[in-house]
Amino acid sequence: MLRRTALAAAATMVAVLLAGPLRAAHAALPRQDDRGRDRGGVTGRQTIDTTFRMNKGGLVDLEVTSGTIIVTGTTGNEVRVRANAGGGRVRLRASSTLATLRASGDARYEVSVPAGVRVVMHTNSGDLTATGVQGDVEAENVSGGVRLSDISGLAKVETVSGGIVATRLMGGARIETTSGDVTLTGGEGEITVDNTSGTIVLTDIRSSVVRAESLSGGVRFQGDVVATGRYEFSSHSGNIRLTLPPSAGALLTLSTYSGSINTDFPITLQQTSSGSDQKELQFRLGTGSARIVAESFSGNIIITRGTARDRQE
Amino acid sequence: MTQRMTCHEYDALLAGDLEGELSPEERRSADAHLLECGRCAALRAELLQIAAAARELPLISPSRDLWDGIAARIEAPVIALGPTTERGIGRRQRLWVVAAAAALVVATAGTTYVITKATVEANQSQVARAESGATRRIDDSAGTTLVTNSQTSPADAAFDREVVQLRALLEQRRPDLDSATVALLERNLQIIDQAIAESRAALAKDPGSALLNRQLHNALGKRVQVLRTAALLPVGTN
Repeated sequence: MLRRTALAAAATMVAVLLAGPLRAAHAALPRQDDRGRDRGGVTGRQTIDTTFRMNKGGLVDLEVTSGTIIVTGTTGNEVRVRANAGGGRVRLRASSTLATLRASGDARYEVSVPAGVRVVMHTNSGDLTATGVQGDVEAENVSGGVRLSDISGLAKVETVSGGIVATRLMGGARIETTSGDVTLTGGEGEITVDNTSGTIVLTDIRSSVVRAESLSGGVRFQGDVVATGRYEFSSHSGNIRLTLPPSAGALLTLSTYSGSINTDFPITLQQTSSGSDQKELQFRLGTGSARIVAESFSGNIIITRGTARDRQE
Repeated sequence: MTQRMTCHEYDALLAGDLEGELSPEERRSADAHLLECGRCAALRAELLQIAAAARELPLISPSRDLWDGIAARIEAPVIALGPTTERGIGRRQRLWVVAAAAALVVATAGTTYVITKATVEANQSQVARAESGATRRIDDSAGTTLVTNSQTSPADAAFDREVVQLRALLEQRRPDLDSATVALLERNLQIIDQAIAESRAALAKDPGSALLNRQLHNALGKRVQVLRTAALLPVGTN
């Protein structure tokens, strides 16, 4: 995990192995210093407050060892960077397609980005926040919280122990944490959540592809069931609780080895396993067109009839 | 008379050296330096070894989303980094340790993925046959039960190899890492180990269970995932 460190190192290795093509690509690109006006080329300062133009499809790459990063979406085509490195130094390099912001020591970044710009945030220790970004967002830390809201692009989050709280992720989400709790309220697009020991709570989800997997944490889902959708939930020892619309149309397959299965839907039993200790229940709701799979080893599986908006797509 | 090359100058030529792209003059200077400098000679040898190992790998797809991120980074525009002199040798050496870890992760992730995918599919196929009535339960006496497979299959062996390698890397890097973060990851590894033990015990009673095989496979994968995280933690994370 901790992809950024891995990637930096792996990219170094790949660069060694593939240095020819990379070097050619590098040589073909103008260097910051070659581009005339060094719009964001600020180095060695404690604070920065500057703006520069960025094209759609550009990348803002923010990294600090320890500190806070706050990104907000804005109109227009300019990126604004305000950074305070406390007693350390901050370095900004920027062009119309790529901006990198780095700091030594503790730092606080406040950055606003226009629509269509991708944002990458990384800190080892500290909080990461992105609000209203109309583009993809990547947030990665070891310890510290991650808060995302109103993200129109793909949100990718990776933490070790930091909790993740997200609201209205409209372009899909890939969330991976070792022991952080994950709370996502409002989400569209493909949603994948994976942890080892934290809880996963997905609420008000409108997605056709959802996968949530924990080892010892509980998994909760409440949202629409799209007719062509596929929904997979798994936990070894945590409970899985799914709250589905009253008129959901899905084929459900629920399996647990030593837990229990409960549902308040009137069900038509399709198949019940087996000669072994495990319990498996397969039943159809409505049209049965979507697939819902929930599995646990010792956790209970609870399916409840929700009051969520009844939308079949 | 040609001046002797310094470590710093050799560092600048290192990538070219590994690719065999040095000019004759650079080659002579580099060779002369490598004869005298154990540090650079060792670094070069290590990188050549890693590169050779990487070349031996089959053409494979790395596990899940790992390659996406790498590809994204490779494809991203390149911006000039600061001069090499800003980075000390100590930091560079640590970077190469992490680079070696990353190379291992990339390599083992791919290998593990291919092997485990094939094995899990094979196991699920066996289970499907069992559930369909073709084979109610796989014959224990033949030594081909799923329990036996789960303990000795290529998937398990691949996982075990990767676990050993990643644990070794973690131990090597432990002095540089934040102890609290490592402790947290180790607590999670204990949770995973317990899940693995529970799944295996249950499989011993119910070897035909596809559910238990999936639970075991998930836990094995999670163990590797957490170990990768630990092995690749940033230095001094706190």
